[in-house]
Amino acid sequence: MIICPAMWRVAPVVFALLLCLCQPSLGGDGADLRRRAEAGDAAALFELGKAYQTGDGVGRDQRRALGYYERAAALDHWPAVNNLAAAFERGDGVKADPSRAEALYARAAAAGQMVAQYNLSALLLKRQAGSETDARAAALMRQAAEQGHINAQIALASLLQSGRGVDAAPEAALDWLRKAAATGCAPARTALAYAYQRGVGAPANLTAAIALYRQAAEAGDATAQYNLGLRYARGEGVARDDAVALQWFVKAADQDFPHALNALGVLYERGTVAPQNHAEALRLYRLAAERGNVDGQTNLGIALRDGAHAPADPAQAAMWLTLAAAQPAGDAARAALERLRQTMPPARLRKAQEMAGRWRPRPPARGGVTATEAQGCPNG
Amino acid sequence: MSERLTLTGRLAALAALFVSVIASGQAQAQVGRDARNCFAVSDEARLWKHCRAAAANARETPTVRARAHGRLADLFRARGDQERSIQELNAAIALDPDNLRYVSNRAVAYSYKGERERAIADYGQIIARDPKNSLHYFNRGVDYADGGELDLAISDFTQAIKLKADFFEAYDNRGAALFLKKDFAGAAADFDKAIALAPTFANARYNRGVLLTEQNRLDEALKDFDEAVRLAPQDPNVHLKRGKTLWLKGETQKAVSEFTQTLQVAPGSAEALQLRAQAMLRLDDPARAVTDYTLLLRLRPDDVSAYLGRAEAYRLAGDLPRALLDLDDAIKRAPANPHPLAERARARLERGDLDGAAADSEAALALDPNSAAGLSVRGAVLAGRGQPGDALKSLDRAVALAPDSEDARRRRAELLAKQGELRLALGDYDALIARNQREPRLYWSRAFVHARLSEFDRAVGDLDQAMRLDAGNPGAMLFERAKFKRLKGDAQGALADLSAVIDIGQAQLGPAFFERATLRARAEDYAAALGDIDQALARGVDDVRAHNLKGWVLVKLGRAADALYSADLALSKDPQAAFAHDTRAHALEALGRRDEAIGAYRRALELDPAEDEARAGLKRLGVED
Repeated sequence: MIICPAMWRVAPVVFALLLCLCQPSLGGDGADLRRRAEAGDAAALFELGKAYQTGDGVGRDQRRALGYYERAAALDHWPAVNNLAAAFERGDGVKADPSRAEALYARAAAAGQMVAQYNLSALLLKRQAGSETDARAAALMRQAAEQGHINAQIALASLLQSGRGVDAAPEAALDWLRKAAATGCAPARTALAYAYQRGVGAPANLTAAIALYRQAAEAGDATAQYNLGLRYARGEGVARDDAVALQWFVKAADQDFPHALNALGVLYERGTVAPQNHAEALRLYRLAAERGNVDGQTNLGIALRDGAHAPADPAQAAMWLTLAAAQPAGDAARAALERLRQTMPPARLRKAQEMAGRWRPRPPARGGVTATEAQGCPNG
Repeated sequence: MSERLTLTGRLAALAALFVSVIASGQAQAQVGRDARNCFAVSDEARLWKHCRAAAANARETPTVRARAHGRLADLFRARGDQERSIQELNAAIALDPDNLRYVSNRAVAYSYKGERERAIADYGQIIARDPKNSLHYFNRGVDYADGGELDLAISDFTQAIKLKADFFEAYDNRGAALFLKKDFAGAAADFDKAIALAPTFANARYNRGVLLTEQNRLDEALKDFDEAVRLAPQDPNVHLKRGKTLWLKGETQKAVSEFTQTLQVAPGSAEALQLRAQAMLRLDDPARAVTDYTLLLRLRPDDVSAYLGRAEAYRLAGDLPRALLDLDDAIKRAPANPHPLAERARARLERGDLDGAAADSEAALALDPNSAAGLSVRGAVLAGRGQPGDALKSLDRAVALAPDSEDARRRRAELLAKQGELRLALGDYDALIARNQREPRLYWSRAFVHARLSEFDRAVGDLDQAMRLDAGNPGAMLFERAKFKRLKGDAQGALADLSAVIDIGQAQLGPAFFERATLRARAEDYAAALGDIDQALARGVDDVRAHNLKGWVLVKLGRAADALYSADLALSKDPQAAFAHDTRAHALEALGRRDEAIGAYRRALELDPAEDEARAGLKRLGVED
């Protein structure tokens, strides 16, 4: 059994930690910058901190960067406060301190700094702390969105669609997505396409969804590339065309997009449009599985359980199926695991479950999914 | 593509199997040195030298000399020189007339040389002297089948089976002969039996696949071809037939892959190149079709169908000059064939060259007055020259002669629609779509005919289908669908489609904003309408209706001064627009400029007595018109 490419469910809102790096670098006249910084000019201190953080014209030195940020922050330079908070959140150059990060974000956010509003909102949402916190997060997200923060607009749309922290308002969500998409931001177009595909906030319209997916896919958005490929693979809204589907899956897989890695594996296993290649299929399932993709984990588990095109490895099979079965969309994995349980000694099964407990997803490869800034979503 | 699948090559291939079986024999003792070497060596040069010497050595017995000639015959046969092989076998038979194997091998050599009658005569001679040997019947059966004498072939294969009950090749060949006689049940039984006797015999799987394809049992056929490919992966015929079956199933992409595999096994397969090129055309990939047709023309420089195919590919790629050059070449090679002339007429028509198209279509019709393609182009030329009646006559004849011709029917449908014969046009579009359900332009055209007949649900349905088949131009299609939805009274649906057009941000943006503004104004959502009309104006929609709408919306929003400015702008575009005078009057009325308002209302009614808003305005102002 091959688990077919799954419908990508909800556009994941990536709460990427954002730094305030948008101001132009002072570049050439470093001596002047230092002079101004020493004289207590907050903007100059911030610029120097930024230069040391990014290694722009000086050797990269995060500790010195934080020193400059701290001095600027003491002068209420809000972008510096945000960047300092981000360092505490990530543990970048300092010991991670979420409480201090939150306090600093809150200070900058209260002063109207939109990146800090977005970052604080994302921090609160990640906590899954309950409705009150969610409401606060949604309010902050709206403040950032209203100031034109594109990732915040996309995230706010997601909250309005799901009703998390706010009353569900799919039509309002669509308006935020339209605002974000109008800037040329590819992920926003993808989210808008998904709303059209599912009919969230507007009547379902596959033609519009596909046109928007195509625009975002051509701009390099991996999620759009995968979803567009899936429409072609299923003949949804377009005439079915496996060759075109393959082409888009390859593009998305090249960016390490887990769903696409699995989908590509399925096409190699079937050999209908690409030459049949079980070894390549298995490699792709493994890549998808290592990134936590439920279908990749299931397909890999089944392949290792059955040993049809690779040596059977029941322990590994049980580990991957256990991981997949624990996911909400793991029905196929649960059934496959049940079959495996009937033939596997309990001690080995326990060992596999321990392995699953220790397993951690592999981070995306270098040069993986393009950052939102590179996809036309400037966020200040 | 619905060509007949043939099996002849397979039957001949089986015959070769038996040559080597019969040729092998045991060397005899008490012979000279040359004869011993002749029978022992395999090296060609030494074999030639020793066998020639032994055959010429009068001291050797006739049997030994005959055997030397037999060895030389084997050598020539291996080189493909059937004539000299037969000469050596004649010499062997003259020296040793009782030895049947020389006669048998000569029969096979005659078969390969194409001298079927002589081969059959030799087999007759052998069978008379050795009637219990199933191989002789089998091989004669192959020759009968090659010559189309299927009853005789079936009789021989049946005899071979009687003598050797597990003779699976004979079952397979008898099945093939029955297939050619269209006795499909008998053929199926024989192929089944051959497969049961020899499950790894690829040929029977292949033949049964061909039979199932003929019976349109394509999935079962593919299973047999899959097995045949597994058993004989290097056989190009199996890949080719599998590709054809996939093509028939409509799985064009997979068919292409199979034709590619055929070409990997047999790089010079013209048929595979031709089929792949046709498949590329079906896949809407004319560039790759051009490549394949070009390769095909290297193999067959005078192949008119390849020139025609490449011309079609160029035409589809929009490269009409190159298409015309290929059509010139096709016409040069087949000047008496009306088809290339009709094709050139079509290409010239597409180029807008009515005179050239007329000349070519008349030339095609001179060669064949019943050339449907010629009549179709003639019809289009006449329509282009403003003679719709004659054009329709020509197109009617073209359709009657070739009811499957898409070209003539499409032209007739377009002409009928233009003439207002909407039901007749619809009939043609229905017929076209029934034959070709993958062509978005047909759905698009039919949608407009439905809309003209006020069949808006059907029009919307056709556009849905067009959009599914052609994802390349969604903005324009959604825009038209919105219009149809609005006309059928589905304002919400129209609004949603126009919003989608705007979100996609492709073509028709200005008109889409204008249409949405109109819908929003009708729904009394004036603020939103104003936003849209400003977007429309910013995108170049600069006509009386747009400025008037803005004026009207501003009146409703209580911005009378701005409304007056917009109404004046509208009137500057068209001073005779009654509705713009009415808007102006409303603005003036709101500004308290009563007399001017009355004048404007009166002017509106003068231009259009049905302008009820103006009449109401006058009444409101206490003036009767």
